[in-house]
Amino acid sequence: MKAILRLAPWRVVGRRGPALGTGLLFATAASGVLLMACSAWLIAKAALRPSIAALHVAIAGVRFFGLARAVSRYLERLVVHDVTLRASGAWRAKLARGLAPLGPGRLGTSGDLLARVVADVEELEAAYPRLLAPMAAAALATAGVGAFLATRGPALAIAWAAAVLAAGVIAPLLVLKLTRAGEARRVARRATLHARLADGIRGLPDLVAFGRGRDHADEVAALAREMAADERRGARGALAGTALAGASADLCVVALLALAIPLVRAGELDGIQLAVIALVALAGFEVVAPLAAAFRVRGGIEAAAARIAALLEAEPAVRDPDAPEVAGPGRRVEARGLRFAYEDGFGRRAKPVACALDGLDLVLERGRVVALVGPSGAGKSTLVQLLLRAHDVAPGQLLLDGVDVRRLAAAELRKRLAVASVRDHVFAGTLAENLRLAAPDADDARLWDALERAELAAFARGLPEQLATWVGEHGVALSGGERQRLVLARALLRDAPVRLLDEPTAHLDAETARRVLARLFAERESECCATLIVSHRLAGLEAADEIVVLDRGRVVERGRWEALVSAGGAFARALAEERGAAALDGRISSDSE
Amino acid sequence: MIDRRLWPRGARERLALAGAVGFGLLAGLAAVGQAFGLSRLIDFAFLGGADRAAAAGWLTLLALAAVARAVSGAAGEACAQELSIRTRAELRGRLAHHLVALGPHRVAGERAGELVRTATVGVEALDATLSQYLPQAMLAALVPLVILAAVYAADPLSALVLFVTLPLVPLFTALVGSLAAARTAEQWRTLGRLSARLLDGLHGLPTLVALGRAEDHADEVGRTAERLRAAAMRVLRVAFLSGFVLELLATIGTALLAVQVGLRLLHGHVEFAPALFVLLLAPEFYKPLRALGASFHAAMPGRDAAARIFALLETPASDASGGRCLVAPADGPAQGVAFEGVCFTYAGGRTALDGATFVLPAGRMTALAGPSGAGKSTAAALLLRFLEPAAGRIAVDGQALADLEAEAWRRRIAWVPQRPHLFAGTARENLLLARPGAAAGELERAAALARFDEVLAELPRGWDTPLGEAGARLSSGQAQRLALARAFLRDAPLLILDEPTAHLDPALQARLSEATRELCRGRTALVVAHRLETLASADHVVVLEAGRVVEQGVPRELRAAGGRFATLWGTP
Repeated sequence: MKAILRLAPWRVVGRRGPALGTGLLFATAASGVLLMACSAWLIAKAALRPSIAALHVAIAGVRFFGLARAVSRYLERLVVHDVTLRASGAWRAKLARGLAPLGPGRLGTSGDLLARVVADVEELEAAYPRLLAPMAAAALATAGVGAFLATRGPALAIAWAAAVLAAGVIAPLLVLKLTRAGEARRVARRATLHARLADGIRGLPDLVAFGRGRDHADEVAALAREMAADERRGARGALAGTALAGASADLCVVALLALAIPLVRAGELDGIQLAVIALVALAGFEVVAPLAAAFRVRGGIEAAAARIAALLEAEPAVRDPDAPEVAGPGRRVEARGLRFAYEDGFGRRAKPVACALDGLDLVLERGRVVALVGPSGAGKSTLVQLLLRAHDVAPGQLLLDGVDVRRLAAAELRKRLAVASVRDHVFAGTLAENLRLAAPDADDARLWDALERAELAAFARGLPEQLATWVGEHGVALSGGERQRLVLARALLRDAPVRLLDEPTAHLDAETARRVLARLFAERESECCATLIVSHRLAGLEAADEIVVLDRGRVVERGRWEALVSAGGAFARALAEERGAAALDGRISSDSE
Repeated sequence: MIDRRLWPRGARERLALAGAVGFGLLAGLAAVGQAFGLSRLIDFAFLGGADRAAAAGWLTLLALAAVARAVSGAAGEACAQELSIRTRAELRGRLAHHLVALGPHRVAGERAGELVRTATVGVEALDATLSQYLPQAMLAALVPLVILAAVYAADPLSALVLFVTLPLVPLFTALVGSLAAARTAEQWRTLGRLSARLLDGLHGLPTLVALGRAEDHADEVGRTAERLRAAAMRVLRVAFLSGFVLELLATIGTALLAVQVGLRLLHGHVEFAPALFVLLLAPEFYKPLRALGASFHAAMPGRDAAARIFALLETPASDASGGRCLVAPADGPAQGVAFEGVCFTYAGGRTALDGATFVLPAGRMTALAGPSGAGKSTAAALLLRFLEPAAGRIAVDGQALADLEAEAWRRRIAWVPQRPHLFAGTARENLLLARPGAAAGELERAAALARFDEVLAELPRGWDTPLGEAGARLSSGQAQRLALARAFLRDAPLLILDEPTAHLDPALQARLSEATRELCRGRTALVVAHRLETLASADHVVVLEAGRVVEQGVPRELRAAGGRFATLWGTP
């Protein structure tokens, strides 16, 4: 409960909303109790056949509380939802603010962690409407009923307290105890089941080709049955609690009557009160009864809250120096003997993997384009990540205008970089919003210019609402090539002195790729920036000022295109290979025309 | 509101639903008994002046009714949950089997993400519909009638009051509902977009950090959340109206009843005990309707999900199971495979093969060449029977492939895709996919032949390294070697290999080519070629263009003939 309370709505949206929601919840319960009290008093009194005037107040009470309950219930649902949405929005903003400094190094590139956070915030949304507000309202309402009963006889109040304890405290805790371990197991099993299903769908060609499709489906069905068994156990545990809560409510009424009848007989209690007591007690339990069922989700909410709290307190992967130096204009980036090994790369990978970079020397200068090429896994993208300060460099140096990047504020450093990578995210939003992330003040003309330079303008003109077209989730689906060009356009729009383009031509057909690269080389003449192109494809890089060939973190060759071709080394062989493949895939048709 | 196809199909599911409704009714009856007991007891003690000893019988009865009500309520709830648990488990199994039956062509690729969501989150979303809405809809139709009958027996006029308010419930709810639907259709769309954007912001955080926009973004998240809240509240203000109307009717009904019997009591037109009895029952009368109203919202996501799930389940499975189901020849193709005027057009209208006729000589390696889109991969998919030809036929030793049982046919095939799927599991399990139950020695041999042993040496835990989404990622060269190892382990007479596009590591490329040549030796092989060297080493070459064969034959002769192949060979 501590974790939930630490992330309770009143920590972020003030006390008024949450208090009002709880108050309305209490008002609904109180109106229900008073409606039943007035009704019971009305007919009990009427049975004694008084004058009609004696009943007027009760009749008015019945009408008033009847209306009041419906109205306050409606308002309560609105306010509780409002508070919940406000709070979860505030926590999202806090997380966005708090997670950013952790940097890509801690957040990971696979998106698993972030997906988890998103799910956790959603889970946390249930805390206020299902636990916190009902618990507070139930405490208030039961105390009120208890006080009323105490005026009728102390024994009645004691019986009431015992029943409330059973239905509102013991039953929920019983549910929690009976279901907590099972719920955790169920959630884990569900994750496994979903992962297996997804795995089977994505890998279906392999499964079917090897005749293992049916086995896989059987396995999923078996997992589904095991999960059903988990759910069944959880359901039973929860039902034991709700049955206890229900029985204690009804038995409480019996006990109250058993205690009240002698009081009536002894003349200590008006007979009219018997009906009132019974109906008030029944109505009073309406706010207590749902607590038992709600405690089934408490374990899950607590775990989610604990994870969010831990994340908000996590140590960043990279720390800014206490007194950062002033960053230069970004004319020159230099790597000296740069080494880097991913510690714990992805998921459960147990030990450090082979060096991603093993002694890299490289210079980027304004007006020059350097191409970093090599097979996948050669460490090409690592340099980009290190420049972005996703991780700290251990041995070797990375300098911006002669200053070690570790002595600069990360934000200042990143201001000088324009990055486009295959891992970059396209946000759910309009095309213009996606582009303006890089330059908030850019007008439409500049956006179109960037799209033109990234060879995406023709595509954008064909969209139903052009720049205002919604892309990403819930919008127009982009192909891999379109995404890549959008990311590139965003980087070009940024006007930063250092451009780091990680596979800018991935997913593009050969002709488009060539045009994109030709434009990049043409812009070199304007001396606008230093450019690094990371690529596994060689075609189109002929004009690079330097080509650095990387293999397993080491530089195996470097130089200009012609020199590398005539050297006949790894680069020349790879180029021949690539051209052969291009010939097979494209040239048969072009030659035959 | 409820998809008819969600109606319980199996005997156990029907029993669970019957139990949920039966126990729910029983709980309703217990409530009637409880109200009866309470009204009699209070009457007895209040007007009759009885003491506790005299009332002991009624007290005992009441206690029993209380226990019966709690127990039957819990039992009904258990049955309702059982219905949901069973139906969802059964649907998951059915979906898994149906997806396999639909085949890779219709399942993998662009639709994969959507199908995964349907089969996972979609099935979860049915819970509220099955465990709450479905049984409550039935109870809402039955329990009020039981209570109405009890009230009628005690005081017909009160029954009339309840009866009159009853049809108002669906009437007003429907009125408010249609009003809400008209006003909110557009707003739901806005809500969907705004919440997508909120989710998205966290996913894209690393990108925002790189763009230096993380701080602005946090403000943006705040603003978007605020807009989402405002939009959601506009929707909810209307959507909750139906609940409000229900609630209002229920309380007004109760109040009306109380005032009505109160006034009649005053004039002696009704006794105290039946008056209290009907007053106690009034909330019970409206309770199932209120519960139904509350679960209506919870069941909303299930509606969409059910439509998607059943649309998927009702997509007819591919007919690749084979017409006459002959057993394939035991030793695979002895005389080779022939494509005879094979045509295939994709659903989108793209013609991939247009009367392709060529042979795969037995025991030889045939290379398929041609520009991308010429139909090479389609030919491989047809041979794997992921697809069926629209016209023409594929013959295996003179027998139509369509007449063979697909599963039996695939047992004779080893497939090496460009990029194999890595399943969540260890490297060993990923290799064993090709032949479950293979001995450790066989695994080692296959790994060595495919040069996969080099990959294993680099993996942190060797054979036991977890691969797949949550495990170690393999580079394309490493994955390719795993695919080759699978094929070696499979040891099948027919090999279908989709050659990966060039690797930049020539040394690795040479090792892979060598392994591929060993794999092809003595097997009937179809290689979708992306490298010139592969064409040179093939026994037989088929050049495809726009779905037709433009040349086929032995590489040496084709070069001499001076056709397309020769032109291609001439280019560096």
